[in-house]
Amino acid sequence: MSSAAVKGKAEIRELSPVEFELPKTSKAGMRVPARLFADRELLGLIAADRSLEQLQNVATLPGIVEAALAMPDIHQGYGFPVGGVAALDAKVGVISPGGVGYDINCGVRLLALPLGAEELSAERRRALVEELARRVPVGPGRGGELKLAGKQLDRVLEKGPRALLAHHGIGSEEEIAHTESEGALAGADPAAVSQRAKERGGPQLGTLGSGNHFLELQRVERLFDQQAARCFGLAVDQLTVLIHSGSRGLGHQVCSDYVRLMDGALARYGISLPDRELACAPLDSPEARRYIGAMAAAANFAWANRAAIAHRVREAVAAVLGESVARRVRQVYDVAHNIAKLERHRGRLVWVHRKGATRAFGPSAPELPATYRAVGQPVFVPGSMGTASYVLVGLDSAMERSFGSACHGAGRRLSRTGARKQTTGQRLRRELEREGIVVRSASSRGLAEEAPFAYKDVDRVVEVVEQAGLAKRVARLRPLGVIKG
Amino acid sequence: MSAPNGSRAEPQPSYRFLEHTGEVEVELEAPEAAGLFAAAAQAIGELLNDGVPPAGQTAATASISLSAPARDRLLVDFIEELVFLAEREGMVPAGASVELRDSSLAGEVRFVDRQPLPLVKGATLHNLIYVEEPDGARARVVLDV
Repeated sequence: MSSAAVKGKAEIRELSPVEFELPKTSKAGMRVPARLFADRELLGLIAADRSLEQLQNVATLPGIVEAALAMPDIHQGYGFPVGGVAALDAKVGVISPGGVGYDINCGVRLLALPLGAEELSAERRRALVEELARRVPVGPGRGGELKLAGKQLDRVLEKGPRALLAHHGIGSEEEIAHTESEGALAGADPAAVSQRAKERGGPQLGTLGSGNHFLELQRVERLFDQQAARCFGLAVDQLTVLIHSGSRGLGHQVCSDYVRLMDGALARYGISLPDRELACAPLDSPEARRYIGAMAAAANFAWANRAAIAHRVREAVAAVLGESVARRVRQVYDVAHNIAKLERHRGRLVWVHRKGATRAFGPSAPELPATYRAVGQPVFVPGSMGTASYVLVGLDSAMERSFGSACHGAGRRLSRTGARKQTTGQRLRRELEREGIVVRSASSRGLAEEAPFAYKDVDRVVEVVEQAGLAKRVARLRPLGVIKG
Repeated sequence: MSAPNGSRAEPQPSYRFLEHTGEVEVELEAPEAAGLFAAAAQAIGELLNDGVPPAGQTAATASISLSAPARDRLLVDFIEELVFLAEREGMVPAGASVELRDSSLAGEVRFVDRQPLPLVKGATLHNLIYVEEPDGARARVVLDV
């Protein structure tokens, strides 16, 4: 073991070339160490903001098990850092809405088209991107065709995409089978979701949102693992569509409601925290039980949202490439990266909080769909616009090392203002178009804020994930068109 | 520049956006506490108007009435209310005038007819700063965007 000096931080220990640790003595109140998967170069970027301090704060949560963990895409957030993982003992631990985030079950769905990029001319690819942009509402998005309320909305909150299939003919059983948790967390309680949350989310089903949410047309550029790629149905040059969205205003409101409820209850439970946004409640408390019911409902809504967007994608494919192509669009998988789930790790039941982190179960996990049990769970790592995204496969060793978790993206390295100082939306759009990437964005400023240089190097991030034994590279995807929320 | 009749210019509510890697952090300043809420409405208006202070005629007004356990939470709840109203009405807040009593407020928010973009997911309690002093008030709030 060696140690490395980190600017403004206590000494950080180097456990391996891709794993660092801040001991539990490094900050008052830490109950476990704070552990980071990164190499030295990424560590330098990560230490430039307050994300490690936020990770140390997570290590103070009552009932936290083993270590507060950070993926190599970690960056400064609020309460939990983005890219943080924490397992809280199901008996004596707490649940923290801030450890899930405002966009409950923000996640990624990957669709595989039954044709290669070379089979489509540049004009037809552009036409497909235009059609996708026309059909998938972005921004505030009350323009979705599904405006649900009352019992219809409650059914989605309880059952996720299965309710859309049963009552609206959207999706398929095969898609549901290829969705994490089959798109429905048990214990979802629509009654624990406030009326305001329902009012916000009801008209937004099937809409992308804004910020870093996007929809991308891509081609498979390279395969790393032929067996897993075959299992996922991916081949070189194949077209894919990646959908990145979450639970929209409904999830945002659920988080707000319960952060405030738990902030007000901390003193009653004798919990003292270094950051109010870590507000939490003991897992056996009424506040926690209600939050878990509401969070599960919002997660189910998010899976239904991505299912509704995928339905729109198929419609766009049908309009441009024909019904027979649209019918053969296949869902590779759908993963959450802002969620808390009850899981058993090394014989212990824990609530694993993944805030900007993806479940990455290996082939031994019984939760996986039958089709993926030979290889492991697909993990999607979107890069930034103009750079690659990755399909990884979860490894059994991740269960030992990261509570079965891996990274969720490249991770920001520059603030939004920092990005805008270096480019404009118009300039970036021209640069991306020169590289053959069609860009549609409602916000020029938002486009600049998501510039590729504002993010860490996604190739390096996934290399660290692989070296750390969390997940393995399967495919590298290149963007052809981006629709930004 | 001096004010008309040689009188000293009164400090106005103001806001600025601070560096934050993942989210947006806004700092508010005002001569008195109620001004912080006016500044918050202006800041949220700029943020939801794609980074440009919203101009133009008032398209709608909304009465607003809130109470919270403390003033800092009242400010965060006020921002959340602005975000909710903007999202529901499809308009951008351009200003607000509120009266404070303890940790409650009542007042009015003005909106201009612009589609809000980007959205704010939530106003957080992370590193929340709220200070009232004899010579003015200031606050800092981190927003999830």
